[in-house]
Amino acid sequence: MERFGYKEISFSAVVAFFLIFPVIAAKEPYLLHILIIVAVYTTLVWGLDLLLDCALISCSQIAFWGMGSYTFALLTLKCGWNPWLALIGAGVVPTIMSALLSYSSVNLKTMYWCLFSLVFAVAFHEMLFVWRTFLGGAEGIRGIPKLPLVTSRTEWYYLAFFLLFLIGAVIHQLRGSRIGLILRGVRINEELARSAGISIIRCRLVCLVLANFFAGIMGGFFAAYTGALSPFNLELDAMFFLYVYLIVGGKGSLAGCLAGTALFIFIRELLGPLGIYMPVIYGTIVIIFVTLIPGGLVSLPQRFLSHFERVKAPT
Amino acid sequence: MKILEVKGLTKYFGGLAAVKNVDLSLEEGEVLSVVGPNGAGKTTFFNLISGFERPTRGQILFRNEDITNLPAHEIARKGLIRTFQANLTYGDLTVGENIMLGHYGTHRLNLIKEYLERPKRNRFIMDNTRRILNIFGLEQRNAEPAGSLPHGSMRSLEVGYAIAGEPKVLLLDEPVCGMSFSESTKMIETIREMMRQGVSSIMLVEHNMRTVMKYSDRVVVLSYGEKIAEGKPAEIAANPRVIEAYLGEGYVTS
Repeated sequence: MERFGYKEISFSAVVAFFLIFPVIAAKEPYLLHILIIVAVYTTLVWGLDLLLDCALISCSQIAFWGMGSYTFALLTLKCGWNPWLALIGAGVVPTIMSALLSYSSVNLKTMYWCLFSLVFAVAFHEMLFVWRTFLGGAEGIRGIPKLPLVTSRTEWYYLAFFLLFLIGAVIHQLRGSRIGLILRGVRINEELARSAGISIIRCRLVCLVLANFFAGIMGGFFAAYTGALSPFNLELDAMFFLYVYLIVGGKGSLAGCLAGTALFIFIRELLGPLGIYMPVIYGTIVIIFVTLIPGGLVSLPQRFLSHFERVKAPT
Repeated sequence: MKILEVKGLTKYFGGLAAVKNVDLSLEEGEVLSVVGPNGAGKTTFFNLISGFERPTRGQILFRNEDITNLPAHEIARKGLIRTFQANLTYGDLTVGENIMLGHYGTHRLNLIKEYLERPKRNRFIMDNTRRILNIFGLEQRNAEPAGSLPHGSMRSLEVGYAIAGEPKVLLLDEPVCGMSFSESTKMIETIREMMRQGVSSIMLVEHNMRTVMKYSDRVVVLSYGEKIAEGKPAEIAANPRVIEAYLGEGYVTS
């Protein structure tokens, strides 16, 4: 594939597309809104994918995202912080929380950790309803200040994709690094990794902290962008949809996760009127992908191109 | 000097004692074989020493330091690295990557040094990986996925992976299991070469008696979790209790 350089070409094409999209869609601000939502959800899916790298299945990604949102709202409204500073705070609070969480779940294996994170997510969600005086209860929080300097929809769009690009760059760099190799090893065989002195806990910590930091930042961004928060955005089913995006897009691939998220969010917008039948459609798509295209969307170009590869007889 | 000392090591699985009151010491510069019939508790004994299982009772001292309840990765970092009985490699990673990974757990730097000495460390790991690949004759297969290696090379890769962590004591769980005689001779020669390069002692679980008798300085025999004999290979071969444990009472002639 190096000869085609098709990865580099498609990467440049995607970046160029996102850069000039606001010009094309100048008359359709709603499309920009959808793409901003895509950027936010893609971050969460990337986070889940990063956690899969160290064999963790998390149900708390949405909760950490919400934690970022609420942190941003509280820091700006109750503490009067500068929104930009609060955006960083929105990343830091989930980071600290996830570090505590990972130290308190040191010995849990994959599936038990999954349940553990589910409990955390449910507890967090309940807390939003119960702690009414501070977190607004079911009404949520309104009147969250916007970020200064970011006014038009186009500017929000560029900020969203700037953040997305930064996060993607960090994850990409991480995967290619020493830590990335360690994570791949840990995923293949934990025992073997431990026997060479690799600390599984440390790997988990790195993944959790990064994934939840990104989720928190995007949560803060989302709060500033919409200006209002509601705990109903943080329902658990949203969490499971993230895994749908991940599976359909292709796990282990940044581009795949982006493609899967974008595809589903557009499907959701197009088929929104179908309402309660949506999960049926989601389910069907997932089954099709799992059985027929296990590599996800990202494996499709490769599959297609492989038909045209040069055949060489053995010499 | 004793590099590893095991005192009264006991492990119960439910009511069954897999390892029972085993005392053992490993001297510096020594090759010690642990032998015994199937189910004698040899692998459990290894798991206990390397921290993969917690002993019910007993104490493990490594260079006079209590490592009994340390987690496995910390024991490895202290310089006590084990291999596994099953063919255990990272099958999807290449042979070179496997060896690289062997370094990462133990060649660690603190946060400040990490920034200052990273290039030096990385260069060292690269060179050392190449050196280990050469020692085990894997340099031609460097870029192949480890899962595609034939059995013998995979065993070499496992030992190479353990060596990469620069162990002081190497615990080998049946390193030549399933190998032809020539392969196993080469393997053992390589392992002895390791001893000239920093590994101070080796503890070996092995079924192949020819290998055990030829290469070990001392042999310990386990049977039903208990140590029944200890001594030079020749003494062990003549020990009636050992013959009884292996073959049954009727074969003891002396």
